[in-house]
Order: sequence, then C-alpha cells, then structure tokens
Amino acid sequence: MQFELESFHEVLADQHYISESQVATSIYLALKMEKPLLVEGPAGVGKTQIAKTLADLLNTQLIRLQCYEGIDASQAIYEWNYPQQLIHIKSQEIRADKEDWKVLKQNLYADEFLMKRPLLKAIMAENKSVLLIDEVDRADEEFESFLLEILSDWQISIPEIGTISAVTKPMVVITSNGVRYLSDALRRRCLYLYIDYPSFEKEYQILMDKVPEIDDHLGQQICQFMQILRNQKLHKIPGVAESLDWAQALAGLHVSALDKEIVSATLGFIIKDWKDQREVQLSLSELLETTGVKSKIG
Amino acid sequence: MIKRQTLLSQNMLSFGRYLRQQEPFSVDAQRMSEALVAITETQISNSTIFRQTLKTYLCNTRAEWQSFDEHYDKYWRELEQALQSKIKPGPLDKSSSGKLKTYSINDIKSWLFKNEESLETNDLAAAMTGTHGSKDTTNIPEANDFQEINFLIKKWSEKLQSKYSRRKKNNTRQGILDLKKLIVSSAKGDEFKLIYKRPKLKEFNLVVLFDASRSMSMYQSFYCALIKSIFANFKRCYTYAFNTELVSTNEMFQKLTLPKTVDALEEIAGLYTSGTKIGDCLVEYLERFSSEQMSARTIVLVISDGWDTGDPAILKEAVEKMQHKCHRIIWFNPIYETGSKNLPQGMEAAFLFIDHLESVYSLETLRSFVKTY
Repeated sequence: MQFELESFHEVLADQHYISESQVATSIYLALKMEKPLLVEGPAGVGKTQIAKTLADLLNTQLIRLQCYEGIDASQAIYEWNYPQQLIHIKSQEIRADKEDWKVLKQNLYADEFLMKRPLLKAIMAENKSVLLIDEVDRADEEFESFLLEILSDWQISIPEIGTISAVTKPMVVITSNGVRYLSDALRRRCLYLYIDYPSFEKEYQILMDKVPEIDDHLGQQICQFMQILRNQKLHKIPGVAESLDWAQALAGLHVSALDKEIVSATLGFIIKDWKDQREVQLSLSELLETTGVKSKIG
Repeated sequence: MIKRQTLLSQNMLSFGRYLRQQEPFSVDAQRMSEALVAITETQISNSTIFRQTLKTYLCNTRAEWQSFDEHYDKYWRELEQALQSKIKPGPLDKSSSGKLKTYSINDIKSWLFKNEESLETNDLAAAMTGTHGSKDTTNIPEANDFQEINFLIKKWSEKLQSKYSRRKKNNTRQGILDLKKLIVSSAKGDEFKLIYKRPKLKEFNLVVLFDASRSMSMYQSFYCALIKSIFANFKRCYTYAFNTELVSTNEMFQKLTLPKTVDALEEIAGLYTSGTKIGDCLVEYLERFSSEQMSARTIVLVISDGWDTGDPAILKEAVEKMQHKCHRIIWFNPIYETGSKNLPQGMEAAFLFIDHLESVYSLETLRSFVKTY
C-alpha cells in the first residue's frame, strides 16, 4: 500500500487516529524505511493505539507482545507443547503400526506441537503484520538484549527445526512509559517518537471523534478541565484514555454541562489514585472556577 | 558562529555536527547517514516535514526530543543570518548536463523558511543528494560493466561456496558409510538402513569494511558497484564505511540505486573530520559487532589505500584480533603494487595478519583476482 507523506496525517485521521503532524511523519518514516518505531510517552496518550491503527490501515493482523517483569523467550517466541507430545508418544506405544524412533522424533517436533508466541508469529506471518511490543520498559534488560537480535536479523533459531527467517519484515511498534531507561543499543535500532499530552484543540478533536454523542459545550468543558488537571501536582496524571472514559460516562448519564456535583461523583473515571482524589476534591471549586464552571451547590 | 554552507545536504551534515556539540545530543554518523537516506527516499516537500524527519532520526531520548526544536531554530536562523549578510544570490553549481536544475542559495533558504512554492519537490530531493557533491560521478560503471562485476562476484562466491566444511551431512543414498550411526541405530533395534555421510558445503559470510576518505574518492564508484554485487551474491553480508568513525551502510546498499549510493557515500565522507583512523574504526567494529557477525565462516574484506593517521600499534592489534576471529582477511588496496615493499603506514602495521593483499580497483584487476583466488 502506497501512502503520501503530505497526506498521511489525514490517512491516520480517517482511521480515527487524530495526532500531531510530527506523529504522522514518524509513523510514515517507520513504515517507509521499514524501521521499528520506539514510542515513548506518559500512559494514556495513544501509544498502543498507533499499532492498532496501523494494523487497520494495512489491513493486516496485529500481533501483540505485552511485556512484564520476568518475561522470557518461551513466553515471547515459542514453546513445545509437552503434554501433547507425551500423549503422542503414548498413542504410538498402543498403536500396532509403531513408528520407528527417527520418524517419531521427527513427528514430535512437527508444527502441530509448536506453540507460536508473538515474536515467532510475526516472523512467520506470510503477509506484513504489525508487531506491538507493549511496555518494553517493564521487561528485564536481558529480554531487551534478546530483542536486539531479532530486530536486527529478523530471524529466530529453533534448535529442533533450524533457523526461521522472516518472510516479510513486520512493522514493529515498541512502546515504553519510561519506567526505566532503555539501552542505547535498542534505541539505535529504532526510530524515536515521543508523544506528550495533547493540546486542548487536539484533545477536543479526539473527544468529538471518539464520543460523537457528546454535546459540543460539554466536550470543551471536559478538555479544559483535563488541561488544568494535568498542571496540578498529581501522582498519576490522567491521559486521553481517561478523558474518553469520562466523556463516555457523562454522555451515558445525559449530562449537558459540568457542575461540581457531577464532577465530584465521577472523579473516579479520571483520577485513579486516592491521594490525588482527595487533593482534587479539596480544590474542586477552585479548579471548576478556573474552567469556567459554576457550582450548583455553592 | 555557524559556518555558512552552500548545499542543503552539507548544511544538514553541519547541523548534525552542531547537535553533537550540544547537551544532551549524541548524534552519530550512522544516524546522520540514515537521515540522509530517508530524506532522499521520501522526497521531502516542505520545511515542516524536513524538520520532523530530522527530529525522528536524530533524537533518541525524551530530553533530546524536547530540546530539538530550540536547537533547530537556532541553527537555521543563524544560518539565515549568515546567508543574508554574506552571500549574493546566484546559482549553486554549474550543471552542464541539464538533467537536474540547480538552485540558488535563496531558493533553498526560502524553502527552508516555508516559502515552499519556489522549489519543485522532486528536484529539491535531487538537489539535496544529486549532482552537487564535489565528487565526479561520471565514472560510475556502466550497465555492462556492472553486469560484468556482478558476474565476477558471483563466480567468486561460487568458488567460496564450493569449499567443504569439516562437518558431515547425513545422507541415505551415497557417501561414506557412517558406522557410528549405523551401530547406534542397530543397538536401538531400528529397522536396518544404511546411513551415509557426505561433506557439507561451507557458507561464508562477508564483512566489508571500506574506507570512505577523500583519498579513496576516485575509486568509490567502482567499489560501490562491487559491494552492491556482493550484496546480490552473498547470503549474509554486512558493510561498514569508515574513516574517523564506523558507519553501517547496509541499508544504503540495499535500498538505493548505484548513482544514489555513490552520492550518499560522498555525503558520508563529508560527515568525517580529516585524518583516517583505520585502527580505531576496526576496534569499534570488533567491540560493537564482531560478536554477532564474526565466526570461522566469516571473510573480512577491507577496502582501503592504507593511508592512516592513527596509531599503527592499535591497527596492528585490531587486525591481529580480527584474524583470530574470522576465516580470512582480504585487503583490496587500489594503490598497492604487487610485490612492493613500500607500503603506507597503515598497511605496514597490518601486513603480517592479512591473508590476501590485492590491488583490485578496476574490472581488469577484479577479473585477475577472481581467477587466481
């Protein structure tokens, strides 16, 4: 699929991914130059959504590898299905026409016993797939070095089968929340993109696109309140994902404008830390005043 | 003070150097060359996208990302001031071929500062990486020569692949009878079947390290064609340009056409400061890549005239280490005369550890190399 750099921003918007033009340029370059894209930024700004949008755009499958502390090769690449292999051996013992050892051994390492994990799936995919390596900063450094090999050679070695090279290079999106510093070696292999919280205008656009049932005025109030909230000293600053959840909840409650009562009742949608909630509750009148919302209660 | 330059690509390179001097940037030559390739490939049409492309390529961390725009503005604004105060509008370069338009400094300047209509998109991309380099690209091998080079490299690769490994491959039809396996399978009670072993063909990897210094520029187009052919005929090949730093050029050789590769190499040569340091670059290669890419089945091809300003002891040590790690070191030196004892300083240091020192710089010399190898 061929795209034009100048209009790529609109192409993404057609897929309901509203972004700054810098984001569109970086994604386009990663696609065109077949380079992995390392996306950093706070939680809830749409890093993961990039991979989902790309999969929709390329009309291909999204293969997701969610990283966590202690993840290793068997969870990321492949594993042999031992229980089934044992059942196969047992069934051979019962059968009259027993397979000889060599054939049995060959059959034991057949494709049906191979449990393909995300990285192997992406390498073996016949059509160009989108591989999302989510929250790579949560994985250990060893796992990161292990990723380097795959990202540079696009091949995986399975001792029992041999080396499997990628049929088509997958489009790789790696996301990180900055929990720990990623190695320079990994950074060198990727194109870099940092996504920050969106501006008022962008957030409003996103909100109206994703929650069209919401009233214009309420949309503006939500975005303004979120902008002010992000300037407060909070432990967990709410992202766009929280704004969307909140907007959906308010739309469900048929609210047409913000007031202190409704904000106070639905604060849990945007503030996920109890200390932050207490702080915001205490200064809610002040915050709403800055937003331009007058309290019904007084 | 920013020095004024006359080409956009040169300005990009000096912007890379400028960034390198700023905290927290660590722009390496590799990244800069990738950015150049990206700009050639994507045919950037406006200054905003040009800035965004550089940002994507030259930033690696959040801190770099957040301070990039400030440095970008500062650099190009100072450049604009330099241009306004010192340069009269005029053509960039004399282009007799008429294939590509030449642009005045003010054209490029106005393009940079958002007056995009003054330049046509495609021509600008060509102007950035096209004919304006100091290198004469008229000696790029013609299609026939390129085919011949390709044919010779194919022949060489076939010669290499015909060498047998010490390990044997199992075979059920012919070869030497594998008594050990036969006994084991009989002991297991398997069905009696003769097992043979046959010699296995060796597959060689190639690591090409070539000198991108000015002294090598007149041979560059021939070597570019040679390396492109190597890429086409070897299963695994890694290429690096070196001078004062090591730069991976795999992407360049895989994605760009031959004339564009020659131009891009010229740009890479512009990235370096003067003074070739072969030893330091080989040490860098050994430290960063050798563990992944080198084995007893690796042939290292060094393409350099051997003019070195670094420490000969470092070079000697690096070549010695390399020799231990790989199958063979072949050195193509365009200025070497067979049998001559007057070697450049770099060659003299490395001479003991090189398996083949050849004077390959043209079709004829390549032909005789392939014939005698």
